Amino acid sequence: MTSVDIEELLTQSGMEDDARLHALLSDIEALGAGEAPAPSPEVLALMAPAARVQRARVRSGHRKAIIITLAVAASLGLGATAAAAAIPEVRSAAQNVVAVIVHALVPDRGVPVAPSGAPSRSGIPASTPHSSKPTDAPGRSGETKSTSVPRSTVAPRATTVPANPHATAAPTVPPARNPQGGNVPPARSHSH
Amino acid sequence: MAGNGGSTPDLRLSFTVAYQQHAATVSGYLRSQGIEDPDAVTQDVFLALYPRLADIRGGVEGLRALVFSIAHARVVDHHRRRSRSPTFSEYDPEQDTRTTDSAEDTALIARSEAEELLQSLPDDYREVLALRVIADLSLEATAQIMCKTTGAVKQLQRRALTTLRTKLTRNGESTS
Repeated sequence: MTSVDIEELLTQSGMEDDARLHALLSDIEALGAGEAPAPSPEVLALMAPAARVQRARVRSGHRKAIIITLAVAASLGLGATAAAAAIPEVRSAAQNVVAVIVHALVPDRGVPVAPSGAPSRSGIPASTPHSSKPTDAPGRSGETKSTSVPRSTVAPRATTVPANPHATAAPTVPPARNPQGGNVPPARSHSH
Repeated sequence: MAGNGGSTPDLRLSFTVAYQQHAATVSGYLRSQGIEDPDAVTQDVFLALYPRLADIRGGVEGLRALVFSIAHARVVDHHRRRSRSPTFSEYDPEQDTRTTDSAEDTALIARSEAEELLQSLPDDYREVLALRVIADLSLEATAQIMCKTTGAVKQLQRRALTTLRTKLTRNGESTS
């Protein structure tokens, strides 16, 4: 209801000259001008798909985390395929796409960028906090445990952009492997 | 808005637009009528609206009238239920008006004066003002929702405004 309508309402009742009543009706009108409540899951299920996506984007407080999780999941899914694992270019390209997406959406977060043709597992320095769990590195799930890769062929080719600028001064320690073929998380003390 | 099994893209789109356009107003209307959880009841209103979307006549005004017709029915149900079974609530010191209000409390009360005045009106007066001013409905649509004649609604709104003016004057005298 506009102010004109409020005036009309007051005129209909013979009170068009009452400024206080006019102000009060404006305040009453404002009671309906608040923020719309978030739709419940049942209401959301009836809405157009585009609205659902938009609502998810607006309401998610963990948007960045979800995007990162999806990106990592997508990367792991790609790495799980034998074909992708066997062709370094495919894996590298896929991870570059993921890195670009994450970097575009979360610009304040350092993202390892693998150069073309470089194995992705070498893109994460052991000295950064993200490397405390080497098995989480994108593209690793496609490897078999029996595969033994010499450290020297992996670590020197790393090209990293760590979030922490001080981390560039720290030595890069590749993930160690135990004799059984499993991964051993590198000790944090190595970074000092 | 013909429906096909009640879930065509057009129907979903109409429903989405209806929610975006009216959800806030419906929530405000329900709050003005003393509903304890207006946001939750707003969801009920729109869930009840969905199967009736395909039958709407009268375009935007028809949609608005239907939305608030459903909301009004929820309000009537709420007050009827409450009159049958009074609700009990725990003691809340914040609600105890026997204490002296802090400056913050005074500010909050001043901000919701309109709501308080509206709540102090008889049900019919509050209803007619809410439908006319908050829901922005015409005299005719308000009369239809309240099951009254247009003349009766006109009379009701005049009495409601007169009562409001009296309360405003009284409040002004008590504060001065």
